[in-house]
Amino acid sequence: MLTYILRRVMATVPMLLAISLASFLLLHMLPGDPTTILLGQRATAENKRELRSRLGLDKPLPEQYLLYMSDVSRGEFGESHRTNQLVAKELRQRVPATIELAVAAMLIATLVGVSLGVLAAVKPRSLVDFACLSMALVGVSLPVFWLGFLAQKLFAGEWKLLPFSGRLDFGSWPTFSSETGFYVLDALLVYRNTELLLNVLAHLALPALVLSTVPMALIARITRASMLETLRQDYVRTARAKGASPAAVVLSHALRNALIPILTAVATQFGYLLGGAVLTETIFGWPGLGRYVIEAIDVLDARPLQASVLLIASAFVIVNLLTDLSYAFIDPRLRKKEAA
Amino acid sequence: MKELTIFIASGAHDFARFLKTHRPAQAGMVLILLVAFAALLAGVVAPYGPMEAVPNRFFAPASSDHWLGTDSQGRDLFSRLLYGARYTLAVALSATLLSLLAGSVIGAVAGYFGRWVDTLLMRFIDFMMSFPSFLLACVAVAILGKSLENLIWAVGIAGAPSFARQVRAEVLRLRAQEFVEAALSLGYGHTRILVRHILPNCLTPIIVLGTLGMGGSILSVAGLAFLGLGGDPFVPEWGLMLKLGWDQSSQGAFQVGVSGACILVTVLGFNLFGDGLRDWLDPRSRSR
Repeated sequence: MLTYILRRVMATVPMLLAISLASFLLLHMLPGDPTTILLGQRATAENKRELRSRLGLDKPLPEQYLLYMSDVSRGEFGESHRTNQLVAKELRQRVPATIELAVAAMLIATLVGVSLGVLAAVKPRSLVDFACLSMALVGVSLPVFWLGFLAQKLFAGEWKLLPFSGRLDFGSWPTFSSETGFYVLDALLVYRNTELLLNVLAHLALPALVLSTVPMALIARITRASMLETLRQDYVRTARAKGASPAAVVLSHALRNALIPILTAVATQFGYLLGGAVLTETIFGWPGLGRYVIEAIDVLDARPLQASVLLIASAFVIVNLLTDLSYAFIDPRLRKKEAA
Repeated sequence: MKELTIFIASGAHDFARFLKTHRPAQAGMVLILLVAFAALLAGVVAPYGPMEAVPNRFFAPASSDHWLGTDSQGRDLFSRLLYGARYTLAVALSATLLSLLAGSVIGAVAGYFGRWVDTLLMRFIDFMMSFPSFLLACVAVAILGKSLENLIWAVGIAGAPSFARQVRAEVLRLRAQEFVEAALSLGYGHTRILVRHILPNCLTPIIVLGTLGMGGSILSVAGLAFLGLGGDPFVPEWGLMLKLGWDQSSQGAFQVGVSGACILVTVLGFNLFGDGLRDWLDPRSRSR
């Protein structure tokens, strides 16, 4: 077990190094001179020269990379020329916003997706099964930004049930300032205010729902397939024969064994959402990481782009690592095999 | 070449028979044909040109002159959607072909040669896959510059790694088969074995992957265009049209609605048809 964990952890180290190298090289791959990119178009030649020597851009690339890595290891990502703010400071607001949205979306997707998949597998070729398959198909075929627009028009525009965009109605809460970056946690733990919490959740509802469609579709599809497979197994028949209740058979005998592919799908999708919420964030004016990337690309703002790429890819790799490790806990056979 | 033609013809015949029993694939084919006809016949069917603006008729509602009304510039929306099929399909198809080509070459070489070639190439693919593919495409556009042509490159590159993995798996399976061993013992070169013996046998799975990939490419291209990374905003590509409508807020709502619906229908078509193709290829997945 321990060797399995160690080996898996060691395998991610070169990957993380490669990611850091790629994010470093990004500065040199963007069109134009790095100093122009960093200072913006209005920079004078003198400014550029000064920056060049300050950043060590006149040094050889390997040395520059080491400098870059020592900055990154201290949590310094440079400055954005678009906002003139420290990237690290901006990220402290952007990252929690995206995590909050992604977690909410994954909760919805997993809950609905797994339930639908299980119900469909228990009764194949039934109405539920048809609904599950149709949803799985439409979910991956929908342009999310289009769905987001429609949802916004109906729920916020026509029916006025939910707010249009943003994370909070700052007009009603002018004094609100986030301690944690996660507004739900702020409302729950810091402010302990139900009204504030409801306002935050209302803002979260539409974007989370829209963002959940693709993972929901994939999770439902995989749950269904995996459950169909395990429900056919002999031990399920044995469990039925010994008189276990149908619910116990489905949930504790079959679902538990069908869990690994489902878990993989959940984890992979969560990893994608951390960096892939760009479109949903754009539609709903959600000030998250995905939006940050696009704003940076728009004006070729190199530092934010480097930092976001580094962060998103590392998070993705680490989520995958944790998933792999969790297999050992779910499936005792993996543990045994490694021990032997 | 003759063997290959016979091979494809017999496959097509077999698939046609399968298609008769598979409703979803039929539906998918109808949708794809519909969009393909719109793209091909846009010049004949469309009542107006895609850039032809009627003066002083901005945001006109649907009428007998303009079946779906006009946009913010007074251009006929229905005509633009028809021409849009052309742009959308062309861009997505090019991107998918690029992914397939790059993915197949990398996957085939890695799977066939194995050992350090395999390790090296697959580590590279793992690295590419540590970026969410949509993000990878966004960054690629940042590097290449914003234009519809560069979207092809960006989406094509971002899509290649998953193809490479699947083609590699297929080649790995074929590599162990006796006909490859026979070809090797006849003294054929590696290139010849790869190109003439192994790749033709991968053709069917590659076609399936490509069909399923089309849906994803259309969505990625439209998404990038919607984010304003598609360059010239007046090209009648569906993602760009959707963006143009979105920028007009409530007046453009109808334009957003119809261009999004066009994207949905097309992607749905490719996914339905692709699922059918996969079921045909892998009978084990049919019951699922």
